[in-house]
Amino acid sequence: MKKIAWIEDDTDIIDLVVRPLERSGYQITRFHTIKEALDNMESIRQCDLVLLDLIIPPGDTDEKFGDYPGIYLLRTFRQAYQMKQPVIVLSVVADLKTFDELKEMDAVVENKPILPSKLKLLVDEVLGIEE
Amino acid sequence: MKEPVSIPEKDSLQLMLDIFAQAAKLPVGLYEKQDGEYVGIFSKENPSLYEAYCRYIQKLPNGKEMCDADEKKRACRAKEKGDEGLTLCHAGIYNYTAPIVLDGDVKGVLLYGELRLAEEDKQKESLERHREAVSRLGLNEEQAKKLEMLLAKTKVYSESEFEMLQATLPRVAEWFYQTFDTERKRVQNIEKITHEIQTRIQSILNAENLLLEFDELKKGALKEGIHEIINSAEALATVVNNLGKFQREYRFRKQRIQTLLVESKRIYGAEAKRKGIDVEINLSPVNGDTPRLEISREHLQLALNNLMHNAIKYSFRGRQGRERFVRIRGRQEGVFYSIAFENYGIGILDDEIEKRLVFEENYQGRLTHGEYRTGSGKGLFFVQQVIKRHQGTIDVFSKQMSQERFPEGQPHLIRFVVKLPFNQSDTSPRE
Repeated sequence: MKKIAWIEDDTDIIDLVVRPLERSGYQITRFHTIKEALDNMESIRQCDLVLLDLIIPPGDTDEKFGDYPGIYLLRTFRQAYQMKQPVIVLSVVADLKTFDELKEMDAVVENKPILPSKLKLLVDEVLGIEE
Repeated sequence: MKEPVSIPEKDSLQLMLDIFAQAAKLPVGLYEKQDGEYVGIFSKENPSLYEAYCRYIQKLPNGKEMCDADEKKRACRAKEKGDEGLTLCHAGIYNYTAPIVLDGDVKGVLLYGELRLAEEDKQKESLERHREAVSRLGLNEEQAKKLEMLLAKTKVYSESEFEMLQATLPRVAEWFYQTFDTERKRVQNIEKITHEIQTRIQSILNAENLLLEFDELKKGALKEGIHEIINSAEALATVVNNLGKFQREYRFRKQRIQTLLVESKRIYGAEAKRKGIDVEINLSPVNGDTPRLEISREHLQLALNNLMHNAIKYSFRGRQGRERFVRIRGRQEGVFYSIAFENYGIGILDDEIEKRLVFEENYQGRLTHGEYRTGSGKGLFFVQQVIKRHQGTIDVFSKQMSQERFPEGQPHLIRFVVKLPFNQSDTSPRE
């Protein structure tokens, strides 16, 4: 069973976007804030893929994470934790500089909104799973 | 290499510096502090503007480094002190140094001038500083003589002549920074609004699951799914309505306010449920009956939707098992009916309450800004307009809870209180 870490604060509104993934057997763990993700890095490290939103609240911490806290998190994955697993950035990326930075960190960038079935296809494709 | 501000902003600032330098016939530099280091942009090299004295020093070994370090030091001092004024460089040349302050924040420091002052005491100071520089630079007799000659040729202004220029550039620079700031906020605002809209569209697109699972779904689940699409679309409509002027005509009719609140609860019910938030509505009856107010239903519905959504969205998450609620209470207060929305959430600061900043268009609460960047800054502005049009009032209260009660963080008890007259003829227009 493949494991996915989903870092997204609006799961209360958009949770069903991952339903086809869950129905086909993916195990999804949700993290709603930067702090929650940072506190669970070992668990995220065990996942096969990370789904990441860029605009997420910091959580119960005074630390500042910039305009796109998701980028901070991705940098932490790649640099501090040497995490190599695929990351799909599911977000609104407004400027080219941010987009380039994400690509440099080997992220797959996909804009929201996305059909649930398309997200599943994308995840399968990134993980090399054939239908 | 670090760039001061963004590229389009840098181009604008460069143009501003060049225009000023040409008009005033004085060179100018602008420093900004980035990651603890000062970076500068300068009016374009033009031999007629930059003094031969300065150019000569900069060509000497270590000369440029000394000039750069000295300028940065003076920029840093001006930034810290926040004062405008004349400063003397390491080699005896005067500049005017002006920090550019916007909303209490120093955006950059301007240095311009490169001249001597005519007053005797200032001349003396220049010469002393020049001699110190000659010694520091380790010049031979010939070089020292040449430098002294160039100092004598450096243009001289009287303090009063220089004063005339002082007021110009810093004010223009402030205007530029103000413009950049406005543009930055505008772009951020579009981004926030886009995020809100796309999140709502996402929840509608998620209805694709109904099709994918159609053959397996029972009637009840299908019905629930359809309800969710409609609710999501209504939530999206609320966001979109906040953006533009809501041009629909106000049509006042006596309505049960309870019905509108229940409608808001329905729209955001699924979202609240997933967050584990209970929404309670408790309106005290008026003369034994459910309260009926003269309202424009469509407008007030959207206003209440905004208040309901904010209360749910900014609700304090807390530790597992922490009670989460949105409590709506109503009671009669003379010719008004008062409705209070209460929840534990992200606080609103005292000055934001006193100055009613949270009701201003595009304003995002300072505490919510760090926590949630996605508020559009439109909702409460719209709500206030609708309430005013109903000749009512809206106020907000925010009180921080004790650590004893909430060890996992200290949320605020937030209360928005809307007062609406029972009859539009009951009261004169209110602020």
